[in-house]
Amino acid sequence: MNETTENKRLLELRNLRVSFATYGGTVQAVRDISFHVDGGECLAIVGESGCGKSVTAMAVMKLIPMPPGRMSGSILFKGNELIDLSERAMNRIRGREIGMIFQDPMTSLNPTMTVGRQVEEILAQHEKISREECRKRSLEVLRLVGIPEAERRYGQYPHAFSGGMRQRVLIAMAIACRPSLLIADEPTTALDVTIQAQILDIIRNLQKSLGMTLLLITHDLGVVAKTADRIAVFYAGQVVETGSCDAIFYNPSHPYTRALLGSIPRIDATRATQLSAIAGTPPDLFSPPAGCAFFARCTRAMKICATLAPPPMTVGEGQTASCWLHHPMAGIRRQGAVEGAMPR
Amino acid sequence: MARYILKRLLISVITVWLLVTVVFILVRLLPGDPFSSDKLTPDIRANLEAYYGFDQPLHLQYLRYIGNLLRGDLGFSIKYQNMPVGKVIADSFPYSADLGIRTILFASLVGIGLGVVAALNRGRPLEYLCIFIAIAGISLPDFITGSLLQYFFGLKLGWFPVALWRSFRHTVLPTLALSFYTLALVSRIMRTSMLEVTGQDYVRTARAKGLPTFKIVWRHQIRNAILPVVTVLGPITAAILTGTFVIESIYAIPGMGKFYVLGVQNLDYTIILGLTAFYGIFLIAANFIVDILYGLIDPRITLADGRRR
Repeated sequence: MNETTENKRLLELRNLRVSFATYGGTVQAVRDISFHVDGGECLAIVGESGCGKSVTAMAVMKLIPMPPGRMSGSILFKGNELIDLSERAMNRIRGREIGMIFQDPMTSLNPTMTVGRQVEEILAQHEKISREECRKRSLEVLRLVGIPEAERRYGQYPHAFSGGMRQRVLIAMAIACRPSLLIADEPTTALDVTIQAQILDIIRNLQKSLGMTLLLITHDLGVVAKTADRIAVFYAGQVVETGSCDAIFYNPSHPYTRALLGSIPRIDATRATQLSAIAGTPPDLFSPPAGCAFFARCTRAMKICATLAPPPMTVGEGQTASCWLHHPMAGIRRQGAVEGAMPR
Repeated sequence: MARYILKRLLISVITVWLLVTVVFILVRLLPGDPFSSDKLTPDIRANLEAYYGFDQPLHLQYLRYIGNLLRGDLGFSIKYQNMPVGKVIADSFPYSADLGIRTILFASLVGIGLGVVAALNRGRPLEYLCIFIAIAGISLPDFITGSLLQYFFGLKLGWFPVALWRSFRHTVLPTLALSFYTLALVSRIMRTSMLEVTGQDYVRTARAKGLPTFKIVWRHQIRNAILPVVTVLGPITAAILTGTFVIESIYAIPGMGKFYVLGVQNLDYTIILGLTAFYGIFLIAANFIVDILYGLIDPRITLADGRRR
């Protein structure tokens, strides 16, 4: 790791842990996660439901309700530690330095406030500008995200907007102050398939034109392939594999990544081909297993996997996988990793 | 909108008519009559009954009453000589309205405040204090709170006059006593509603914008949480109007409540009917205003079959 890469690290998470105290016990939603996002790139976090993707995103914004939530570890944004920042200091970063788009556009806008005011609000909060200037800039961003007749739509309430339009408004709000980091938490999940591609295009184009860094959270690997530069694969609150988009798709090195890629339905599959799924269920995060979290579902599990959690191991240029198969002592046939993307 | 108001008006007229009819029948079903308490000779009694038209068949009396009502004539009180019911209302209602408006304003403002404070301090002592006030307010009947306030703040501490309605200082205790229940109700509803709104996605969006807490609470939470409170404002008006009966007599306020209670005791037919009709119209108007408020607070609500925005 040389000096220059260190400098362009926009966001770095080190040993982040997030847990929630519930009546049934403590859920360890995020368990010792470390990854980084470099300036200008798009990092995609992929993983199935409940693997801690959204919690990680919320943790970066410090939007985890505490209590019942608890956070530890380190979140470095532009080299500054966020984890022990006060609410007031955090409010200068939220919306201004880091913008966030949420999963459900239908419920993420205030139903009793006009769309225009909701966009104005964030500008008024972070920038010292006059009312007219504020309105002008708000209209500008609404046009930027492709809202037709922005002037007319400006004074309307969210109920007059479709899901796709609302997501555009949320994007407009998130980018209004030109943040350097944009976190998109499943931005297309709640939308129609036809709209998904449009929204994704908007996000990608804005990222390029505004020079933003994008942290994209999704469980849709198609979205990832189109958008991401690098990928972090999450499983049961941990990062199991990171690497460039190509590395993950062409050389998946963790059995979970392979299984995940294998479960994508193929367009060239015949009717007779069954959709492949990963057998079993993710571990209980109330009492996570001592060894590898994927042990119980892994087709290549070894003795050591049951008792000792594997540390991240370098498998290629900028690619790491937390799997004992890649330990020098495992003596694994390297081609085992290449058979990868094939369905089992 | 105009069509909606017209429809509402028509329904209101029917409601008032039904109300008056039912009360007319009920009052006549009560044992005794306005003159039963006086020791009258049969002659005088017959004279009086003839004078008020009570010797005629009931349906004719009813028709005559409705006819007069339509002309805005509520008739004369039977007990108070030379006292038209209209004048009773005109003389006494301002006091009741004064007390009522003070109460509704105080109760809803403080109630909403308490509810918000309770919701924002979830699980802390302050929340339990607010809940305690709410439970006390709902459990204690107003004649108890009324008397307790008189005893402590009127007699023991001497801060406020014990009774009568003359200056602002006179209004404090009766307003407090009458507010207590409503305040408690409003604060409970507001607290629940605020807690519900706090978990909404748009509040998270507001936080992600970097807005300070008070702006989030004020702009994004209270306005969305207040609708259930507005809903109960109609029935609350009813509670306060009925509450005044007790509070007005405890504090010797010359409001309508006293006349209503005495009217029922004396079987003063015209007073009972006149005041009931008046209260009825009043309540209907209050509910109508509440419905209009809905539309103002929540843009998703449009009244009736009017055009959408």
